[in-house]
Amino acid sequence: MNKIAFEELYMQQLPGLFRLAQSILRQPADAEDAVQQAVLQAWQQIDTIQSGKEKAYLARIVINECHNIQRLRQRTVPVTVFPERIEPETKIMELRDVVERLPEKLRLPFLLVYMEGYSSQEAASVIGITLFALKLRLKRAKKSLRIELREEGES
Amino acid sequence: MKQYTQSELQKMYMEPSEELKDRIHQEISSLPIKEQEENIVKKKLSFSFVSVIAILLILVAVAYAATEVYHRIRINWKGETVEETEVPIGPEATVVPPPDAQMLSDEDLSRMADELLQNSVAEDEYGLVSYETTGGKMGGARPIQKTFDSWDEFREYMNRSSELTLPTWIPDGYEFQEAKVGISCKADGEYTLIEERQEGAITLKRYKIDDSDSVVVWYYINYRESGEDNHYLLVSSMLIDDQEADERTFDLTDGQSASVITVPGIDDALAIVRNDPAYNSLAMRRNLNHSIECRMDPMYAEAPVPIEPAVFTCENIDVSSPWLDIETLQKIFTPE
Repeated sequence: MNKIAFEELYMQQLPGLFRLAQSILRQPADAEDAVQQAVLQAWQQIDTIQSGKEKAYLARIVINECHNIQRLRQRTVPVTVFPERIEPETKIMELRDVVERLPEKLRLPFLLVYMEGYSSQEAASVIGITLFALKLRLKRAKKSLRIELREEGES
Repeated sequence: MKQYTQSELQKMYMEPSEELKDRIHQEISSLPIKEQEENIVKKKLSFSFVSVIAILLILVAVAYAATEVYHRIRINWKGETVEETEVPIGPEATVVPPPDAQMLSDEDLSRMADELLQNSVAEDEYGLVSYETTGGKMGGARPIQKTFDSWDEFREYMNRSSELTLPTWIPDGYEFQEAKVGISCKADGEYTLIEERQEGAITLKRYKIDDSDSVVVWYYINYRESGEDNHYLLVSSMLIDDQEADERTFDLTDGQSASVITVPGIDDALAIVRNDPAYNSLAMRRNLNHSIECRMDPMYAEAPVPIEPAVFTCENIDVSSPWLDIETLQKIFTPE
């Protein structure tokens, strides 16, 4: 793959990769660092990746980069701090609040499958778990979200 | 409760800014060029005129083929469209480069693990394999099953130990061939470990369940019209929970149609007609009179938090055949 094709691929996947990074690191500035720092590693190994699996591969690289940043900075990110945005929709913000209360091991599978449209198999390979484990985590994530959203709605 | 779409979920987070895109562009521009890319550039310069024309012709053909799409819609039990997409088809979608050495090693392990499950685990045992790959710990399981080649034995077994709905009528000329059932363990029952051993890099565990702890969670029946190998009828049923019941969808492409129908004793039913090749099916959902709880499989025994039992509240029933029409398929589950 040449640089032009690689840039096209990376830019195409960038919105999804950036969202994933935000879901892990919370702060957009950290998420920007993660997706930028992932570029070199992605470029070095892209030719070894089976055609059709590039999306999952890039997600894996970005997730690893996020974890590297977390380890290096060892910062606790307050869940309730949201970046400034233009006219946030209240319901979407409430949903994000609830989603971000999920532990990462449940949040990540949920976002990969339902926010980014990965198949269960792809999401399992991105995270590095079995398909069985992924489906179980999805089930638990959805159950937790249902309960939390119902409680939010009632309150 | 509100259902959120994929795009609504995406709005939870920010989009990448133009500054970020510029920085990534700069990052990519400064990446070291790869040796292969240099060689490819050099080789291109030495292509003959005929080679260039051949490449252009191939690219045009690929571009033409890539513009072919088929239309796919996804519907729910009410026949409502929940998603609509255009799926491109073309030769580049089927080209797969050969796997690298490490991937072959992982695939070898996966294949060996599957063979171990098939050859070393009896049908009435639960088999579990686990092994390390480059992607981390992987595993597989083979649930407990039973096979019947007699309708009477199958029906007697099901009447004794299952709440799944059985067919009540079969078209003339169609004969029972085989039935299989999948078995899980009651919530208050036990999986008993009968063996654990290492087979090279793979760990194999075999379990049994007492009959008194067994729950049939699915079945599958194959009927065939006498003398006609391609005239088959498939009937299956599976226990599901509330969420699976609500979330089931059906994909239709060009030339396929679905309609909501009524089947006595069934809560939801969808008739799906497919052409080219011809294939009709009936998807049905029935709420159980009471929920059935099953222990989670040993696959999840090592989870860091306790795993709750599975709670089944419905069954999904599917009937399909390439030769029988929908009106005939509807009669198969008509109450006696």
